[in-house]
Amino acid sequence: MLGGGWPRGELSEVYGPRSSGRTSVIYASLGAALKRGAAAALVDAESALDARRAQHAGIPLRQLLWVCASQSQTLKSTELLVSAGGFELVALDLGDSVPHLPTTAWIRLRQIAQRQGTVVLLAAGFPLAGSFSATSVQLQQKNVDFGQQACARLRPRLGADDHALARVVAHPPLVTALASSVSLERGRRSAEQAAHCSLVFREPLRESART
Amino acid sequence: MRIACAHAPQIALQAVLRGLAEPHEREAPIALTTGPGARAPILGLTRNARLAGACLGMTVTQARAMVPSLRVMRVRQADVDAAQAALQDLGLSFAPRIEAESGRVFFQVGDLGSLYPNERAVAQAIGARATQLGLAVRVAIASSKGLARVGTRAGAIVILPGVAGAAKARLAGLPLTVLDLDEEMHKTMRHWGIKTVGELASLPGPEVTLRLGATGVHFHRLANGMDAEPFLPQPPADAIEEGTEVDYPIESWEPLSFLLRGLLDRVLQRLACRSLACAGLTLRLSLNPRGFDLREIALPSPTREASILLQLIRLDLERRPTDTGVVGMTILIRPARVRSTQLDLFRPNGPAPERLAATIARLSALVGPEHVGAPRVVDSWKEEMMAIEFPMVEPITSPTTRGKPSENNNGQQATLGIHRFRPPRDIEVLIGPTGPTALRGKETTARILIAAGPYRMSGEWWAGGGFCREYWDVHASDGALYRIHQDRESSRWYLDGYYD
Repeated sequence: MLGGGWPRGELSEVYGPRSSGRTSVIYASLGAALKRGAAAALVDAESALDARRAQHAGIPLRQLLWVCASQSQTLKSTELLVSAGGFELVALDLGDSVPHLPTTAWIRLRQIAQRQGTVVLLAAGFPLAGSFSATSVQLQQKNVDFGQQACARLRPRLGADDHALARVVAHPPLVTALASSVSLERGRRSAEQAAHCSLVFREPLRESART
Repeated sequence: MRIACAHAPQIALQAVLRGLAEPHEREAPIALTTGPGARAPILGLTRNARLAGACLGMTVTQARAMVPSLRVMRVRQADVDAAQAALQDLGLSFAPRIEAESGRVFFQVGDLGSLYPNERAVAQAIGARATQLGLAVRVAIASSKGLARVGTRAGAIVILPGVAGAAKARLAGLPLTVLDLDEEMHKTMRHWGIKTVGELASLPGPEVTLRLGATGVHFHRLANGMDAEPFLPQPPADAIEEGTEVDYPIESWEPLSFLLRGLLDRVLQRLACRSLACAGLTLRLSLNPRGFDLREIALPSPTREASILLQLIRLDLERRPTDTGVVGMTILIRPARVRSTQLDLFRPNGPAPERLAATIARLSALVGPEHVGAPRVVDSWKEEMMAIEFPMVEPITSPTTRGKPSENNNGQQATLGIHRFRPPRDIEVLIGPTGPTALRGKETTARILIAAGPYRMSGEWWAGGGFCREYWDVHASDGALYRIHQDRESSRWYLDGYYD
């Protein structure tokens, strides 16, 4: 849909309500960049990173620079990282927070990104950068898949010895997948490329459940 | 075997002069004392002070009477040690094995023939390197340690031939003082009317042995260009330390940075001598009137850039300023091999290590050092547990995927992430006959449409901090898919996060 990924040297944003797949998109983007050997950083406004899932998403954790910044520090932190140069992707996960940022902040961030050729990916609940973003993607939750079979298998065992159960199953595989619809609100798109598509996010830790 | 000896005369005076930030300060008449007070004896004098009339052994008052503009400085053992260590680094910049004694360093230079046209060029290079380290040295190259030591007393650059007869001829015209005879031996020689090394060498060996004993034989052999003193190499010091003190407390960054820059330059020169870089430093600030402040500056990759290190120190001081003025500072460097960078044609260039170090330092100053780093999975049964570690610039492994991205991404699968609340939020949950039916908390208040669970997990009881939880995945009426859990011990409910 994006025709080659996030545009380099531009500000891109992905937005949607809770459980629409914003975090998963960030994990996938960071994983793809780091797997190619590029440098990437994540500015996390709510310290919301889950290291285990990030690892399952293909992020080599030792190569990821993670900055837990408060709401007021997020933009400054992002600017510092982008200004340093050499980062291919700097993701800014604002979560549900809505920072009150002046328009000039987005202009400045876009200019620095253009100068350094860095992809700045912003994830938020609402479209924040507006017309200053080169690409704007909206996510909407479509369907949730619960692992009924896994739950059915687990329930009879709840009466068993707790510790034995804890050894058998490392992580609860209750939700197995989340499907989201993706619509490209702003961005370069050729005629044959679709403006809408769907993404399925699979529960990564289901594999580790040895029931 | 060819041994070089670099000798720093008056090393205590040189140690003090190294600490002077401005080169023109060294031109002023300077006297060295051991203690405070007007009656302290003068132990060392610069050439200008000596020319102005000051002499060794005078008191400070007497010297100041002779030279009103005399600057009196106290010698610190730490400065002398640093100068001695710098002298050892000088040796290590030419040879892997050195032997040091007070004011001197010995090292093998026999294998430097392919780098320098002759031994005089080697000696000149040693002198030039010493100047970079802030030391003035005399250099001698000889076939043994003792002869090299004698050579350093004979002139600024002395090359003694390897053949004993030729070395004897070279030493013959020199005064006996170059042998550094003890007082008794010196008196005997004077009594015998012997004034030069050549005259001592011409004495018959058995007669010297009979009259002067082992000491006499040693000097007689030296005078004949023969020496059997072994070369005993010592391992170099692991850390590199430099320090300075000031007479008045410094309370602002500008003068402090001026002194720190000088210290860093000296330390990095020494590192460069050993082909090493700084992997981290410890800054010890002596505070006024007493006490000290210790700071650890970590680096993601070894560097020899003074400006980067200075910037990191400045950011650390801005983040955590000292309570009082600074009257002294010591820098301890942890050396490491210089990071070799081999760029990959097929891999994007990452940030320059030095710039990355400065950026991480700025970020640490902004958000706190505990909030910047590389995430790490912790070996724990609690799935929310994770840690953050200091980012190290390590060689990135070969790209695992390469090529064009998929053209048709409709229905493409990705890993489901979770947006964690850290720490888990306290919530109230309404329980129905089939499980949770509603939840209320700071993050959300919603009815629960679908609840999957419970999934009970317990663990870490063996480590003392055991837990027993029941996890639920709930689809709430606000559209979000939450993960909640109940602590079985306290019966309280917590919101872990939402799938996203």
